[in-house]
Amino acid sequence: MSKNIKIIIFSIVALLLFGVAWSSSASGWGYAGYGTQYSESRGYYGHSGPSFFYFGSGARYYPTNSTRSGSVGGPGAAGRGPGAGK
Amino acid sequence: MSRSNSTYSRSSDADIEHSTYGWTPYALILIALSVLCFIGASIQNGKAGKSQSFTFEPENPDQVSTLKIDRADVVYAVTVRQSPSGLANNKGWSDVAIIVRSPKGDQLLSFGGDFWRASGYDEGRWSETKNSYTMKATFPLKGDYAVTTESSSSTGAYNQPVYVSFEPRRGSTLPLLILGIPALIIGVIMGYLSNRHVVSEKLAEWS
Repeated sequence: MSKNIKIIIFSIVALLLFGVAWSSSASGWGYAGYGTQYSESRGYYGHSGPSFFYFGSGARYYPTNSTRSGSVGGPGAAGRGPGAGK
Repeated sequence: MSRSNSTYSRSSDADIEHSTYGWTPYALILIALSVLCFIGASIQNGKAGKSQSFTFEPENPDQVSTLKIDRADVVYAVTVRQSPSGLANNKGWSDVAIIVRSPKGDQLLSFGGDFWRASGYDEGRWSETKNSYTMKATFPLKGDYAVTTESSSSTGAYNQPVYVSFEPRRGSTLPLLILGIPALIIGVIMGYLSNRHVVSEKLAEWS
């Protein structure tokens, strides 16, 4: 296979990867709530937290049905005040 | 003198010529891909409609506001603000969580953060304040969602109003950054390895 053909194939693969990334981006991949679905029998399901790659901006995600009230990772981890930001 | 320059010129040309048959074209494609990804991420991070803002009073925990989502797969940057001015310096805190429920009452999303202020003297006067946080979230289904807050604070009852803003964005930046950042790193490394002799000579010229 000639060098030029390899370069053309590599370019096409790069463009395909960009297309996949753009499509995922347009559907909101990676943020909390992505993947939520609904059916009459199951109600809302499939919802999940942010992906490993999302750090947020000073916020903490609480898993569904585990808000600060009464959750293990909730009130005890919240409100540490100034120390949390130092 | 002129012979030396001529030899140097031939050597550089040979290196450059060699590099075009090495990894350089692939490196350039990867760098171009990364630039495309960064431009795309910037476009997707743009505002895509009208923001919806709500004000919650912590003394009224039963307050419910309605967030209207008119299309599927919409990304919102949710920014929560509260003034920490009434909190004790260096030790006071206020924590506010946002809870989003479906029209049928299912809890779909919950996140929170704390607000505080601090100051001191350490090789000079310093002060820090945290009065907002942002969480991006995706709403894959259109509909009306109930938004409520839960708050607590070091003082027990901290009644500064909580401002919540839902700003729509065109999409998620994450997939494009996940592709673009490694493409840039690999492209630069490949480009350097293919042209290291030329790069070294140029660096030696400049130093």
